Amino acid sequence: MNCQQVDEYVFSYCDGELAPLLSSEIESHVEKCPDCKAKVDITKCETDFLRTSLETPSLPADFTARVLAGLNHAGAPTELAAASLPTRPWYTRMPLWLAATAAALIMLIYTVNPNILSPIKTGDKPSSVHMAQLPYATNAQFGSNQVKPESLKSKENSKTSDNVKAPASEQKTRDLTSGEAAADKTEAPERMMLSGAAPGNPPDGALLKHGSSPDRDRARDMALKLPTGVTFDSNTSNNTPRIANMPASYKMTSSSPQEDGWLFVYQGTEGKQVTITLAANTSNENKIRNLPAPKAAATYVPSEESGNTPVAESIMNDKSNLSNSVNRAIDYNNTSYQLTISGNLTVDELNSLSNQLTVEQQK
Amino acid sequence: MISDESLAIDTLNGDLAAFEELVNRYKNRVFSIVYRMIGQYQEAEDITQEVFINVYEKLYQFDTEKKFAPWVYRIASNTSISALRKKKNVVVVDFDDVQQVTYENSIAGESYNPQFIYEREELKGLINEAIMELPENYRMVIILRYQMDLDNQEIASILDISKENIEVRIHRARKALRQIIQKRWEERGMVNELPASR
Repeated sequence: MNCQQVDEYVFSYCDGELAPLLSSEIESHVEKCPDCKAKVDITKCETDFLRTSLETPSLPADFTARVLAGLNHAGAPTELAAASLPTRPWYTRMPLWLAATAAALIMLIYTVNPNILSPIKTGDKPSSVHMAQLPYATNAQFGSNQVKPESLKSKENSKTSDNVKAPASEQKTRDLTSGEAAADKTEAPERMMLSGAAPGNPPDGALLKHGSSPDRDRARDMALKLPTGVTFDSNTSNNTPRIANMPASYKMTSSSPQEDGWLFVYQGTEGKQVTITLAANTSNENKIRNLPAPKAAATYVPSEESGNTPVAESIMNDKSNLSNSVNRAIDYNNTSYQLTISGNLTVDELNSLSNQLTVEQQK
Repeated sequence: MISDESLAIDTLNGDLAAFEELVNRYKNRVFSIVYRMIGQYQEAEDITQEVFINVYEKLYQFDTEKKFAPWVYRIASNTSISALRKKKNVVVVDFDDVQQVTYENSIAGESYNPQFIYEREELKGLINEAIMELPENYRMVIILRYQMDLDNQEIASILDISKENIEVRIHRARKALRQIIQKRWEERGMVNELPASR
C-alpha cells in the first residue's frame, strides 16, 4: 500500500466499506506515514461531521392521515394491479423500435418491387412486368398503344406461360384462339365454320396437334408458321382495324385479337349473329390453325376467289339450320388479309354483307 | 414486530392499517431523502406524499421475497429526481474534473484543530448548501450513505447500478463536496482554515 492508494481508498476506509485485507494494509501504512495518517484523521472528522450535519426537519403530525386520504381515490392495490393490466391491442403495445423496423422493411420491399403489394385481380390491367411475362396477355390488350421492339416480340413468342396464371379476361381470349376450347363454348364460336380449307384436305399432323397442345407448343408453332413478310402485331395501334359499313342493325358484341388477325362478333335483329374474322392471308395452314375446329354440321363454302361453288343452292339458302360462311381477300394496312364472315345467314346475305364491308384503321 | 414485507402483503390483501404502519415506519426516512434532494420543505412534503401513493399503487409489483426498504427508497429516489427534472432547476456541474484534489500540499500531519468546533454551526449550514450544489447523482449517494447509513450494496440495489460504481461515485462526490465547502469557507472569510485546506 502506498500513499496514492491510501488517497484512493480513504473514503471507503472511513465509511467502513473497505475489504478487511485492504483496511489492514491502510492501517499498517498509516502507522509509518504521518501524512496519510493526517488524511485519514481529517476524512474521519469530515465524515462524522457530515453525518451529524445532515439533519432533516420533522414532518407534520397529520402526514400519515393525509397520505391515507390521498389513497381513497386510488382503490385497493390488487384492483390497481388489475386496472394496470394491458387492455390495448397488441400492435399498440408493440415497441417503437420494432414498429419502426417493420415499417422500414415494408417500404424497402415495396421500393424494390412495387407489385408485391398489388396482386393480379380479374379485370385489372396487368402491369408492364406481368405483360412481359405473359406473351398472350399483351395480345389481350386490344387496341393497346404499346409498341414492342422486334427482339422482345420474338422472345415473347417463344416464352411459355405455363407457370404464370393469366387474368381471367386474358385466359378467355386465349381460349377463343384454341379450337379445342372454342368447341366447348356455347357462344359465337359454335356457329363458326371452317372456311378456306376443303374437308378432304385436313390439316397436317402438326396442326392437328395444335388443338390440344399446351401453350408452349402453340407459341412455338406460331413462331415457326408465320411466314416472313407478314408483320402482324395486334398490339400496335397503327395496325388495329375496325369493320366499316356494317349495317346499323348489327351491333358488335365483342372483338378480340387473334394470333394472326382479329375476331369480331356482331349481333343482329331476329337472332342473327355474324362472326367476322380478319386473318393474315398467308397459307391455308395458318387459316386452319387460327379458326375453330369444324363442326359436324358445318358447311364448307369455298372462297369466291377459288371460283368453286360446290354447295347446292338449297342447302346454302336453307335458313332452318344456317351456319354459312363466305370469305374474300381484303387489303388493309398494305397487307393482304382474308375477311371471313360466318353466321346464321344465307350465303347470299353473307356475300352481300361481305361485299359492302371495308376495313379501316381504328381511330 | 411484524416485518415490513408482511405488512406489504397485508396491504396487498386490502389491510389499510398495514399500509398505515408502513407509512409511519418510513415517512421520516423517505422525507429525509426527498428533502435533501429537493431542498424545500413544503415541496419535499408534497413529493413525499406522492412517494407513498406511488408505493401503494405499485405495491403489486413488489417482490415480497425481497427487502421492502430498498424498494421504497428507490421509489423515493426516482420520484425526487423526476420532480427535479420537471422543475429544470438542477444544477449541472461536472465534478469529474476536480478529482485531482490531493492532500499533498494541504495536510501537514496536524491533529484535528479544536477551533474548528467553534465554527461548527456555520459549517453545518455550509455543508447543507454544498450538498445542494452537487449533481443529483452525487447528491443521492451522499444522502443514502451519510444520512440513511446504507452500505454500498444497499445503495447499489436502490439505484440499480453496480457496487463498484457506487464506490467510485461516493469517492468523487466526497471530493467534490470538499472542494465546494473549501471555496465557500474561504469566501466567508472564516478565521480557521478547514483541515483539508492546509
